[in-house]
Amino acid sequence: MSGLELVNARVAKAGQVLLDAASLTVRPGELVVLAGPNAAGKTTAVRALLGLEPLASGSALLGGTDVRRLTPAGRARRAAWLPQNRSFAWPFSVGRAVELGRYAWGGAGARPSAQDREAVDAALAACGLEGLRHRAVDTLSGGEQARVHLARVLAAQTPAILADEPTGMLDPAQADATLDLLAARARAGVAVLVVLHDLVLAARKADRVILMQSGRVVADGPPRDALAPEQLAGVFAIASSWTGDRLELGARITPRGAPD
Amino acid sequence: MMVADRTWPLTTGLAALALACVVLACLIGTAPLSPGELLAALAGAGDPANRVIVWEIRLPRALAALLVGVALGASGAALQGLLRNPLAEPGVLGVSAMASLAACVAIYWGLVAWFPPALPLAAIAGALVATVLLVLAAARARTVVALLLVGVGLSSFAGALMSLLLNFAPTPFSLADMVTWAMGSVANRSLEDLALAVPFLLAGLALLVLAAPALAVLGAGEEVAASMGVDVRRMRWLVVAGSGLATGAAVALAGAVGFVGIVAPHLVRPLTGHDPGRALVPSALLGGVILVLADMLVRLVPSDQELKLGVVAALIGAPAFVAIALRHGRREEPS
Repeated sequence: MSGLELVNARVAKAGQVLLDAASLTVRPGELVVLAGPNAAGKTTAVRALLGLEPLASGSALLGGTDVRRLTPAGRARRAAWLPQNRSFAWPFSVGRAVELGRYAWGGAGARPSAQDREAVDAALAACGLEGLRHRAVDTLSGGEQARVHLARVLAAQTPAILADEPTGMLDPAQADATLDLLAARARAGVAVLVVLHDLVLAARKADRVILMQSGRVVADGPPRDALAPEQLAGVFAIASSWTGDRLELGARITPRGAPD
Repeated sequence: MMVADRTWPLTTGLAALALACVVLACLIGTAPLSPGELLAALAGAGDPANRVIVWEIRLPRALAALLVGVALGASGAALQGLLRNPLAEPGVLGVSAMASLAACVAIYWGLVAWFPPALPLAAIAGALVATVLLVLAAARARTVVALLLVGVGLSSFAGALMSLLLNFAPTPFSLADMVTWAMGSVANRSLEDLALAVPFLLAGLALLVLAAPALAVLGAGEEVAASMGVDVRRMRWLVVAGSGLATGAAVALAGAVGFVGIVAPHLVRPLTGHDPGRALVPSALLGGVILVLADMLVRLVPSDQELKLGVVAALIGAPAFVAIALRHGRREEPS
């Protein structure tokens, strides 16, 4: 199968199990949100898919090929990663930073091809960065910098995108726009996996939600099912309700008998 | 702030400047030559005394200064790209000190008298030991400060062993020799000395040029760079071996000359879009220009005892290093 696939993946570090027989798939054309409490294994799952986390057992497939059998360039041509911690050590121009996304295609050197230039221009336009092309990245606002990193990922034009907390630094309107951008890539046939803490946003934008807890996948389905009130009560200990296709979150649920 | 990329005009301009500096270094001196006399001497004609001045004194010396500057400028730019830190440099990180220690050991034990290539080979071995240690340390200690402290430690260690060697120097002559290695100088280099070091130097530069395109991508962090298609292990190997070979060969030619590798990349960086890969060749050329000019200064300042090139380089370079460190510290803040 093309897209992204994790099969019975197990990751253990320093005696701690980070992923426990976790299986998930993201098909081309789908925007899948990976949700769960802190330390549920969401980032580990993303890193495992990218081949950055050695698996104790199980496998990770990019475009149907075991990630361990791919070269770094082969991986980069199949999937682009927007990590949680993103920064550049050097004050590159915005245009150059986005151009680096073409590295695996040979387009980050002195002579980018017409296709490389088109990909960079399209990514800059999609993220509303055309006017900032020559600005140094370290002089931009947090929101603008986040868009530069997203544009770098889009410029790679890979068949899969893995975005870890892409809305972390963003105001609600920008967060919404970012998810719409990723959804548009999914409509264009890309397999998109997004780690998201904002469950309300996830409910509105995801084609499917995968819920994780303690390294395991505990729910996988349409937002309405995966984020059903009984799921959220069990996993997050939080009250919630659905009105139509809108999720509303309530107060923390305190265990019965515990001090309030 | 806008970012400019003037890599190509900068590179060609610096190449022309480097050539002009070498020509100038051949012309001026206690016995000044006219351009016509220089051309005649280079062609093997004209006054035999001029031929000796050009072929045996000035040209080897200017070329040695140029090549040492090229090697250190390129190594500095590449190490800065690999370690994502504008303060990385063979001198500051103790690579040059380890190389000159190894060169001194080779001289001390008479290896060089018995087998001349032992000098560059020993210096390169010392440089490689230091770069490997640094890259191992960089992978473990993730802060800039820790890495620089490892470099300070390496420098001190090499310095202590050097003092030990000096204490036990068998003859006053070898003592003077060793001081030259520790201080850095290109006086009295012959074309044969150059021929011994140049192959290693060029091999090192070739490895660094191979590494250059991915240095910018490494600026996004090692794991992100890996996800973008960079073979990070291959990159480490290329930069370690390349800067080890180039720095080792430079030390074999001139001893430990510091700070060129930090000042040259710093000056060209704003004109190359802050891209450590694109800065590589311009840094190398500017490093060469700086050392040829510094060596002319050494030759022209009237003094009984000739100044050492390394001393002049440090007098200019060390304050620049402090200034860059202060600015970098402010930019990075909560690292």
